[in-house]
Amino acid sequence: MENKMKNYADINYLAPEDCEFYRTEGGLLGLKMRGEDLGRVALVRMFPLRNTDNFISVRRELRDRRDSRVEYGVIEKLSDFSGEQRAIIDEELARRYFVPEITKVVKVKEEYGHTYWETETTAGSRNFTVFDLNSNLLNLGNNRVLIIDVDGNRYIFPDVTKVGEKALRLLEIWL
Amino acid sequence: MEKKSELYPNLRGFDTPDEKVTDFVRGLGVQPENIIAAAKSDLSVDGSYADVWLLAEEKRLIVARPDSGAFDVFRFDEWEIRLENYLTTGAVLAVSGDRELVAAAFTDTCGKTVGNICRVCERLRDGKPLSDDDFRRGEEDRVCPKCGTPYQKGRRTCPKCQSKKKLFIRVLGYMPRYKKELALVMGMVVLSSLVGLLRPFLNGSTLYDQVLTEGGRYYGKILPFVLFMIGLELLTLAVNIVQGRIGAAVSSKIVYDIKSEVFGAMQNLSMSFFNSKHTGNLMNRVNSDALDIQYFLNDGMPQFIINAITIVGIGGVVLVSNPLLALLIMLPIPLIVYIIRKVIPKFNRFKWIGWHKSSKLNSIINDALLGVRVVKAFGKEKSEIGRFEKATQDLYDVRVREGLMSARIFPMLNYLMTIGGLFVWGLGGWQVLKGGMTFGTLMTFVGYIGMLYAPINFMIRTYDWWANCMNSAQRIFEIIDRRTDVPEARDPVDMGRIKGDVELRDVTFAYEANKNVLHNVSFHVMPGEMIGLVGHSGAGKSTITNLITRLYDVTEGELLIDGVNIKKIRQKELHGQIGMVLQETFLFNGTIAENIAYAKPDASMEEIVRAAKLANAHDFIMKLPDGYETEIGRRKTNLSGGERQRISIARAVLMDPAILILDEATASLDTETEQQIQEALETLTRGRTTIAIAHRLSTLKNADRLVVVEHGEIAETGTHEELADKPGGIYARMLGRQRDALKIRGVGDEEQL
Repeated sequence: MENKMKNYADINYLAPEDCEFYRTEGGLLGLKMRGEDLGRVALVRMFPLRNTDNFISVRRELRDRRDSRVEYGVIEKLSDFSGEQRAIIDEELARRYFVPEITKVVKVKEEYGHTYWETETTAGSRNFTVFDLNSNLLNLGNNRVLIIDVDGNRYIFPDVTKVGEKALRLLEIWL
Repeated sequence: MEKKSELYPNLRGFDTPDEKVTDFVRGLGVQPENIIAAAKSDLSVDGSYADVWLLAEEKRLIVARPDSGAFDVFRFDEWEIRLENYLTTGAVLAVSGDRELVAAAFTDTCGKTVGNICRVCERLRDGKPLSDDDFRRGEEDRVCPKCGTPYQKGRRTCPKCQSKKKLFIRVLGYMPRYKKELALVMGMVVLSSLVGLLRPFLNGSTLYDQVLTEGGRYYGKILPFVLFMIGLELLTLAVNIVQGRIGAAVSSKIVYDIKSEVFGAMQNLSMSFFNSKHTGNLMNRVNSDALDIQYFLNDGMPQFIINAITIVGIGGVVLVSNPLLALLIMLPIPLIVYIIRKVIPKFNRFKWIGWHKSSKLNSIINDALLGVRVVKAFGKEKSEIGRFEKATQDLYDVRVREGLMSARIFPMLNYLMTIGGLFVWGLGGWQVLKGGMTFGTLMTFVGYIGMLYAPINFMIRTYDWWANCMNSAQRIFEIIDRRTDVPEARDPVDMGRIKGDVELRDVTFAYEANKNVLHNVSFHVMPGEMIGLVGHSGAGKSTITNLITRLYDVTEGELLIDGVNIKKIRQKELHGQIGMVLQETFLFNGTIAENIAYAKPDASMEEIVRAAKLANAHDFIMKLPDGYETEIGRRKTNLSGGERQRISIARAVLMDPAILILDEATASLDTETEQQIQEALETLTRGRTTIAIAHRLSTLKNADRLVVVEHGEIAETGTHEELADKPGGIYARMLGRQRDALKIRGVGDEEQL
């Protein structure tokens, strides 16, 4: 019984030398483990908000809904991987976790619980609307702040103290 | 949702391509008239924002990126179009055998339309006909049709474009019911402001120039003057009291009207409204919103009128009698206006921050008190104290900043007003000495100046107040106006007594766009039959019952009750004939008898007792000192889970529903209690269409048939015997596991299964 318990709690950390991540023909992520081709895999962050570079679960892609339980292993630290392997992993994570950083607030306006943002982001310029900052703002610490727009899209202020006076005044209330 | 245009005569849905896209695809040899559906996406495959268009023709999907001049074509005979959802984005995948390509990407802003076009592609590929339903889905725009700005889901109007004037008129629309009272209030308000204007004149000119100065009209008549003033003050007092009393009564009544309309509207809303987080916030604000409106009607409007009359009156009198002095009075006004407009908002911000911090503090206190057992068991008292201290400190810091600021602003404002007064004294005194003005007029001026600044302060802030009140009104009207997701049919069918024939035909359902929870579910329950829904948690069992009770409407397919589409049945009749016993029992505040009679308030005492007896509840109720009149929720009536469950079963017994739903009705109970409740349920289910969900498979031993649900699909159907022996079957496996689990625990009581 105890043995069984232990198995459940074991974390199978992936050794970089056992793994070979690759891009599929169609631009998706595949994995060969100790030479065996596992086909498409999904990368799922365990702590997607505050600890993005550690504990990433490598799972069978959910092409079939029935397979949701298969975890091939866990990347303990992204820094274990380097070179092209790291680049492929980063690219896939960026695709799945699309959270642009706001580099500049061009204009922001508040009216009746909605804030209207005109911004420059790492993914290009973007206008969006946030409703009720109180429930759609997350302080990630170290001045990093996440906001969620009315459609559920997420954006990050890498340093909230540098968003400009007007935006800061709006955000500060909820920090 | 007709998107047809001259250029796109056959376009049936989603987005209409603009000129740029049209030119671009024309250049590729695409004929606009061949395009059936179009959707705009906002993200390129490489993860930057870009305009990407998905255009569906009958035999292929074209993905066009006019900005970069790139495009892809996916023929349906080769490619299958699929959707994959990530955190806040998704990908459209083109799949052909082992090959999988990322055809397009999208953010959640476009998720709905892109999902819709993918579904259209799927149907085109399968050669299935497209119905209007395929294009009607997701019709609820979240972008304001007027200004194009996105805004919060669930609101009908964009807050930017909502006309404040119209809202105001609508709020006032509640008032005509109280015409007489309001006219009286207004009369009083005008009277009291006129008296207010008169006072400095009487205290100044009349007193000094006419009463105290030789040759004055009332020279020496001090006593009559004082008596007159006392009379005037008494009149003002009376006017104010009457106005206050009537005003308070009327505004409370109006708010009561609004609140009951909101509550009535809330009861008619569908479940999805209550489950959505944002609307949840809206609901919480209803109370404070109603209060906002009340303050505005009760204080704001009369104050506005009084202040307007005061400013205009003083301005007029002063300007006519002494223009130079009038200008002096006006001198500090711009500065005061500036301070009020610029500095006060900053000050208010601290109030907001303080409010936010104190609500944080409250939630910490709440956690620690409600979770006191956990806190103590884990020995975390110290860290809770630490958390509390941190939050208190934060709050303290803000309050100090707020205090410092207010210590700066308000004395400054005071100073400015005093300075204005001193100017008047100075110039006025000089004029008095020179003989250009009487002392009484000077006193009148000084009196007016003291009266002027407060109304100015009020008028400057009144717009914010008004706007705030209109916003509150808007939120309230949104709930009142909200269309339900499960609308009553235009011509609802009166079913009479439902037989209990339930049929699901190809039912697909999603709570959120693109995230199907049920896929093509079909099964048929005969009248009087008992069906057990079995499956892992999250498989979709409760969702099926939510559809049968029409808390939600199916996304695709049909649900029939006695052969009639559930959407056509009069909802009152439907809900009056479907009973539910859930795992979480909900008992209302009130007596046990009232709770049992909830669905049938006119039930006789005999009926209530009989229902309780059938539900095995009678005996425990008899042990309570107040019997059936035991108050629940008061005086610490501690009913156990099993007892509460039996009361809710009694409620269902009394309702005598045609269709009964048992959702994990016995899951939280120990086996012995469960057995008692099983007996109660047996009497209840006999001869009644019953759909029961249970994890403990033993609970379903009386079911005529079992339906095994897995991943939103029907995996197996059959009797317990048929399924238990099916090699490799899901039910057989679940059954085996439950037996094993009991063995490990050393129970080994196969009878339980």
